[in-house]
Amino acid sequence: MSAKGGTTRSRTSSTRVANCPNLGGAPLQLSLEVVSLADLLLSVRHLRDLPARWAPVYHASLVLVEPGQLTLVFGGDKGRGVLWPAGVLPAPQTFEWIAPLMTYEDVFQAGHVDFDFSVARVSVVDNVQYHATRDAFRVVRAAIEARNLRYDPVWTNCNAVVSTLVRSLGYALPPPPVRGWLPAYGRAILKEA
Amino acid sequence: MVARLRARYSQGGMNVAVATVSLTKGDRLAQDPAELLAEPIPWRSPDLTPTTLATLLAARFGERISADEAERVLRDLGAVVNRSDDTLYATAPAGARIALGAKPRWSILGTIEPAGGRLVRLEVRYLSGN
Repeated sequence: MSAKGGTTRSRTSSTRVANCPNLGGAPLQLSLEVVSLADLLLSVRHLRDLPARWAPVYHASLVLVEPGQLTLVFGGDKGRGVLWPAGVLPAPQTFEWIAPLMTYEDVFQAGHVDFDFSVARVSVVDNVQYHATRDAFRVVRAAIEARNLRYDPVWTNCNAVVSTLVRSLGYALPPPPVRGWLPAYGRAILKEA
Repeated sequence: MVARLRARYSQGGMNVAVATVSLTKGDRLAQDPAELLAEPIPWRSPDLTPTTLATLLAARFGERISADEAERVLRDLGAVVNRSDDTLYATAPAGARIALGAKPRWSILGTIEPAGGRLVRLEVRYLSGN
């Protein structure tokens, strides 16, 4: 599962303080805190709708792995409704049957489409804090959904959501782990991301 | 039940993409427990929207449900439930009017109050699974 073979890792961080004579001479107590660190992976799978599932077109999602915590998957998906080629034709905003762009945070486990059909995984970054990363993704996901975007298979899709999430952390996207097309991979939805 | 809830909400409110409901006092529908508990959640109904699902769940949960109890209720309703220290994750199959192979699902995210272990917020999303 993990990019490093699933080994349990932790890093001991200590507050770097010592006796401080300038502050009255009393020795400051060293506190040791064990911080477990997570890996952030990029997982790709084929699309599920026919006939796209037979084509080399891929859906990307992000997997946050930390031993002892739920393995989480983050990504984007089409909401309820029909596809609209918004990059080609301007979408009629008043029509409610056009699918919105959704984001998600789920548990990465058997039964989840991203888990069951994952064909390749590659490390995005190692040694990130689990809860801080999850919470940062929640903020970015909320910002994306607040824009009420229509799902567009070419421009505002799952890969754009993943790209936005990774860039929001300040990291670069890894090269796709498969040969094929990941539409909108590398395209950030939020300008500040 | 669903028809009654639909009549209560406008069309615009019925079709929001993400439904969020607070489970704190004074922000829920009056409930009839017997009627609610007798009705299963029609997960696969194409008429079920995030808003109606969130409302149905909020009515079942009440305003001070513990995360343990919410987990049990969701499991009894047929959802797959996982929990961390501060979040409850549930998924259930959803229905679509037209499906070309993808399996749509409901993604339910619950916020657990750290101090009391109670469920205080729900987010409901329809995902096409494309």
